[in-house]
Amino acid sequence: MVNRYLWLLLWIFPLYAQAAELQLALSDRQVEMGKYLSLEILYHGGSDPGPADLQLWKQDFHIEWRDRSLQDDASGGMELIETLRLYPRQVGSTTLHSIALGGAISLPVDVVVSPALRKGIDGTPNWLPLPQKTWAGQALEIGVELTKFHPSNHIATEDLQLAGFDVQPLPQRSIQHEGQQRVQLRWQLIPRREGKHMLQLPQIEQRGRGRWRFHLSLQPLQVRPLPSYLPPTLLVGHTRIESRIMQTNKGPVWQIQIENAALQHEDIYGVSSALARIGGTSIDRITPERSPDSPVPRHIYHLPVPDWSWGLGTGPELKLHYFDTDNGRLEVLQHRLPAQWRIPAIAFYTLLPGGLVVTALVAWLVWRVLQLFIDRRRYRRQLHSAATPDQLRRLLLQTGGHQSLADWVAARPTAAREYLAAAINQLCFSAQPENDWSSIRRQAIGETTGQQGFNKADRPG
Amino acid sequence: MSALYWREPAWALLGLLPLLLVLVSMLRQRRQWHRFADPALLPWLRVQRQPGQQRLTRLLLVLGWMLLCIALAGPRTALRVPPELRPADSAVVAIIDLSASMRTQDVRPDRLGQAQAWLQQWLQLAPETLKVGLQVYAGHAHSILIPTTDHALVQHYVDQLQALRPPTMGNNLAAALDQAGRNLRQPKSSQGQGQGENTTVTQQQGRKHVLLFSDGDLGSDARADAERVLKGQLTDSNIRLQVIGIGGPEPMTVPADGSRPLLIDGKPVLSRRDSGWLIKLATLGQGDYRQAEDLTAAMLGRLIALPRQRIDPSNSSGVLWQEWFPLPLLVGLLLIIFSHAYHNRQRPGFTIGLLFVVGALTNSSDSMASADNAGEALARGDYARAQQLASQQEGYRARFIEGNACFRQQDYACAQRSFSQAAWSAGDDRQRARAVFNLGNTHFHLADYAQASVLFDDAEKLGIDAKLTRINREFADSLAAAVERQLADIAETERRANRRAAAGENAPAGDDLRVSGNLYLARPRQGSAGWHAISADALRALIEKGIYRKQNNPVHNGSTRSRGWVRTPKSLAAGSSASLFNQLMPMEIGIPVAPERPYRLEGKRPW
Repeated sequence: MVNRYLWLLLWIFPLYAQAAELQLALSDRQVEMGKYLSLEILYHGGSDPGPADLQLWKQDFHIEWRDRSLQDDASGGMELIETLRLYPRQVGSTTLHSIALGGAISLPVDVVVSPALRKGIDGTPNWLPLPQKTWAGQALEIGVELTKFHPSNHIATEDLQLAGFDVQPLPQRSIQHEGQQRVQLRWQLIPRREGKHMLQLPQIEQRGRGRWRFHLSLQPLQVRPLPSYLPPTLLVGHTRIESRIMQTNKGPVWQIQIENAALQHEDIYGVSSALARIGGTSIDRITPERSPDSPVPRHIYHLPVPDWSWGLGTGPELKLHYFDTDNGRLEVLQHRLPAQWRIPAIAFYTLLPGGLVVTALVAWLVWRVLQLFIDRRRYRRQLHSAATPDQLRRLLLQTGGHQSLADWVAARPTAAREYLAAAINQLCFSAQPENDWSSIRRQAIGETTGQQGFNKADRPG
Repeated sequence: MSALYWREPAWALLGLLPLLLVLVSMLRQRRQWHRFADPALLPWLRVQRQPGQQRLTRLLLVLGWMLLCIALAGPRTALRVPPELRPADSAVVAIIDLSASMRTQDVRPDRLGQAQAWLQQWLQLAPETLKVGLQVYAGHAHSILIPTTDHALVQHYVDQLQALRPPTMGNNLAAALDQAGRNLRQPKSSQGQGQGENTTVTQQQGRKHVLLFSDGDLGSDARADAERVLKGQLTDSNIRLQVIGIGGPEPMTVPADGSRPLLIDGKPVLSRRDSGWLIKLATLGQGDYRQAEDLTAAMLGRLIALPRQRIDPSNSSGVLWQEWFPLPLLVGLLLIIFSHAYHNRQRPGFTIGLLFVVGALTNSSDSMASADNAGEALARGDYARAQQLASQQEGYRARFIEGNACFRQQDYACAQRSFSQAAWSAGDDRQRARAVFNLGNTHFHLADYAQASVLFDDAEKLGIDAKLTRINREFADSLAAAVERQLADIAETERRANRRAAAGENAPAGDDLRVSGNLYLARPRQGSAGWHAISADALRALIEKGIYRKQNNPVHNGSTRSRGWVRTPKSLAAGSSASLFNQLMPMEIGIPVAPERPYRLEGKRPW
């Protein structure tokens, strides 16, 4: 209706046809989120004015160009009709600001945007909370939440592509809330370029009993640069490292797992070099695998345990630098690999006979010491049980196969021995022994077993 | 040693004369002792001389004598060998990767610089009869020099490598290998004609090598092409490919120009040396692979394994010789004088001789630059010397001094590189803090205010006095915000101008075109020594530098009034060999006008 009226005006007043005219023909002044407004830009002027600059509208509307027709009119001028669809980005009152085109200016138009409501269910998507600032290289999650108008409805979206970001779509999450089904669409972003970014999500469509296409408002995100002295593949953010020993056909292998939300396909700075150093191998032989089923991105390294590795205490230390985004500074994560005993097979088989000989020698020595101990105990018992000086004398002579007590003394000449020999000889062979038998026996036991057998009073003068 | 010849080698045998004399003297002495004493009594009769003065004097005399004999034998090396005396056509073509990834600074000074340094070292040791050619490649291959024995000429072009600007981007190694193969297979022109029957140079089959300096950072297509050329052509011609891997094992950002990283789809491009593929390439080329950091110039010579070529003594008259006899003669004489002076050291001659030797030694140690010397040069304000000395050293201190020297000379790209390396290699937080703070100041001068702010913040966390960092950070933040706002104003002004142009006569009267021309700077905090003392013009200049940087303008030469000028391609007379080649290379591949920046070839990686 409006269109017809405008065209009528243009035809009735041909004088105005030479002066440029611009009108906005809007299908409605009200629209709900997920639906669109049809708009025709009607221009009449002397020549093709080119495309209209609609930059000011883009903040509040997603603009979809449908058609553009340009034709000569009877008065020698040009008639331009541009057909657009405007998808509102947020609920509330907004204005389509006036635009200028080919020497004409349009009037501003007020529009009211209402939420997408069906049976009391508000299906308007809302951004999930978003940090205002982040570090370059730090993983962050963005997303929107919307309620399905009906459980059978389907939520679909296009691939998200943002310049200066690595984007990884995350699985949709469904939440039951007060009998309604809410869906969260999420993406993981890793900013690669610092500065102020405006995040724009792709269209989000709810299909089923009806069809809604949502284009949400742009969200600002300030990305801080990492300190420029840090290497580009340094880990950014919280990092976890685990290691364990795995037995393979080629021998024991350290399996090292590094988890970090911002892990990419590139190598992590310093890990390959450090592992190459530990393993005594070339850095080119160390390539990480990316664990496909891990919820948090994870790199898995396999490092053969070196041929000479001692399984005592803890294993070699792995130092991993990372940028702590909470404190905004470089940190070092220190991790000890598990210790593992390993020597080359040739060394093992070379050392085995030697080891056996040493073991046998040690066993023999232990057996000998034991034997000596037993003999000594037995001898001591015999000395204790010697009832007469003759028995004592015989036992002393037996110990070293001596012929006489003089020989026994000569084997280890000491004053105490000389005194003992003289005293025992006197007890055995004298008709009137002067020495006390029990005292001499005690001294003899002490002398032969290494214990102090003499009392002060017994000492020979 | 294989390059050393002797004019009269028999004279060298005279050097053994002192040994003979010592032997005879010992025998004679022994016989004399035995005349009047039994051998069993000799140890009690003979008094051992105290080691020291006399022994040292004799040792010096013996050494001096031997050196004089060596001088008499006439050591010499061939300065120029006539073509007819040269051996078979052994030749090496060095191929240097000039792609953008070779500008990566993971090695000092960068990958291309490292390749250049190795070539220069190797050329000094290369046999004078070896033909050496030079080939470069990026998007296309360019033959700089066909194989020649004029090593000075090769050296000249190697020195120019940093200034060469290939006209196209990419990694066309296949074309370079193909061209190198063709250069090596070229038929002998005049070489065979001069070789008569009397040529007595050891005739061995000349060997041909291609010596590739590359980081191996190629796309899959370029790799496949290179492998195909190797399998098909080089190996059939019995040409061996020796590969030198340049760069570090960790991925690093590829610089676009100066200190800015190369961005593709908004992300910085990373590059690392791909040793795995380079090993494969060397194996395909029946050669060997070496990593630059494990290399020595002698090893490079062995890698190429050129046949040993000796000139027969009967042909020595036809060769231009470099005589080396003055060197042993001088040292021998000095030793003899020194030994004499030492023997009679009560006389002043000893002191004079000693001073002479010490003086000579001091002069020779001049080349042994140390970080301390660099520090001293920095302290006395000789920044160029400090930078030169520090650049020869490794480690935190050397990098820190180098950064300071570059900063003082206003070479901020160099300062950024050095302070970054110092910060990364710092042993503790205190060292790192100093480097980071200076790095922040460097970024400030590069008009990268956001990065400067981050670094001042980091420096404070690492221990720099908060008063210092706060002033700098606030100023950097303020300038960064001012730059953002100015850019937004420029965009708004542009939009209004477009609107006014579109509205024509119907433009509203009150519609102001310009948004603002004012400076938007936050006030410094009270109590801090702020930047209120800086003039408005100076502040505006700082903001304009920031705007230029944001708008990706590579020109940061301090001139803030140059934005009105437009640079146009202009044909200039070549001032150097490199600039001549920079004009020739586009013509070689059919580009009519020499581009200021290399063309990006569709479908090929630009690094």
